[in-house]
Amino acid sequence: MSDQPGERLIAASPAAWRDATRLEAHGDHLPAVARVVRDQLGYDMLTNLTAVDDLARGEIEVIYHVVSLAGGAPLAFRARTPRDAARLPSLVACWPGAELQEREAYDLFGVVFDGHPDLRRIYLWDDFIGHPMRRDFPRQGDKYIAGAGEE
Amino acid sequence: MATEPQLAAERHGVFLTTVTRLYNWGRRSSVYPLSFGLACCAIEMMATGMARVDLARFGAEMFRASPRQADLMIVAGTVTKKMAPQVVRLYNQMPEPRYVISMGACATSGGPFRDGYNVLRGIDLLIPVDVYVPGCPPRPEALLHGLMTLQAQIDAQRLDAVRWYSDREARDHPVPTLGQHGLAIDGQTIDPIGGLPLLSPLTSPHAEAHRSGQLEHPQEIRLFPIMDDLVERETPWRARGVAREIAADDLKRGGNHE
Repeated sequence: MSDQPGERLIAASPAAWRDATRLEAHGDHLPAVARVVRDQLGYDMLTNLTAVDDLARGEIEVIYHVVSLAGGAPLAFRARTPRDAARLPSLVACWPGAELQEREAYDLFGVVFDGHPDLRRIYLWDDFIGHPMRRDFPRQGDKYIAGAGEE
Repeated sequence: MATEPQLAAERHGVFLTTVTRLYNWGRRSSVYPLSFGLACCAIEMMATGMARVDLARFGAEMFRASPRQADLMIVAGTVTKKMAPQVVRLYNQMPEPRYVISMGACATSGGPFRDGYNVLRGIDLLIPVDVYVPGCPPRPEALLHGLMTLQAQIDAQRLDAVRWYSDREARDHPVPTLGQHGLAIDGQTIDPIGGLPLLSPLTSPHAEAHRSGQLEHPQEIRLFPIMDDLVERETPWRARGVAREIAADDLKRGGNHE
């Protein structure tokens, strides 16, 4: 029982809740963590799902923001995935609001969410090549032609 | 000018003028804009139509919901690459004579989003622009001045010279498609991501819309923004390694060492 990731999550100290972005779920345990957060902690709405391209560590970090409609402090937790093969389990089954936001993270960061019902690009067109919010997406345009970083 | 007979005739209710002048007066006094906005510039465009600035004083308050009834397209805001085909299609659907005001930095050059992956670098790459209104966003007075500038252009047109009263046929502007690396026309990428626009802007439309024939970006070093005349004159110095301050001093003295 104590080996379940959800149980460890509940055992975390209240200070950890306040500094909530430190909560980090392993990708394999993400659905279990999400179920605990939703069912046992009462966070019944996913308000935001963002991603950060951590080029130094070679990872992409996906951050989930959840709130409880009954009130109380919001919670955020995150999961990391290698940026070469960015895959995470989808949380659409847990929070339906994740559907469009996971599509956005897939569109701009290239994170593939396993189990997503309709994982397509959402902002850019289907034929587009690349994920423009990744930090190694080419810096572009005439602004940089005169020599990068000379100012 | 035979003013004396003319004044005598006017006393009897007879007015003399030219057809061109009467025609242009009628056209410039009833410029109907197309009612669409793309970004925050549209808010200023709406304010221009409200009572304080009151576009109706210049006959341009009739924002039409259909391009078939519109004379003027005010490109008010950021033209994203996904929106660009629709803007060109709307322009093609407008009956001639038709005019375009590029309102704000984004529609003119891409503005702060110029180097992004998602914004067209100036609507003049796709459709001819008559008047550019700078600003981010321009104040309503600026848009009003843009309209008055357009009216002055219409006043200067000659009916025997404009294309749409002649035998030459109207030509649709090509509608871009969404390609793998950005907008494409006939399968050729025209605004590649990670590169420079491969089309020259459409200029001098009140005479006859045509491309300048020059790419916006030859080999010379370009700075941002491209519309700044000082930047244009300063870049050759920077290309030769002259310090920015020295070049600036020379510019202040008005020296031209090209």
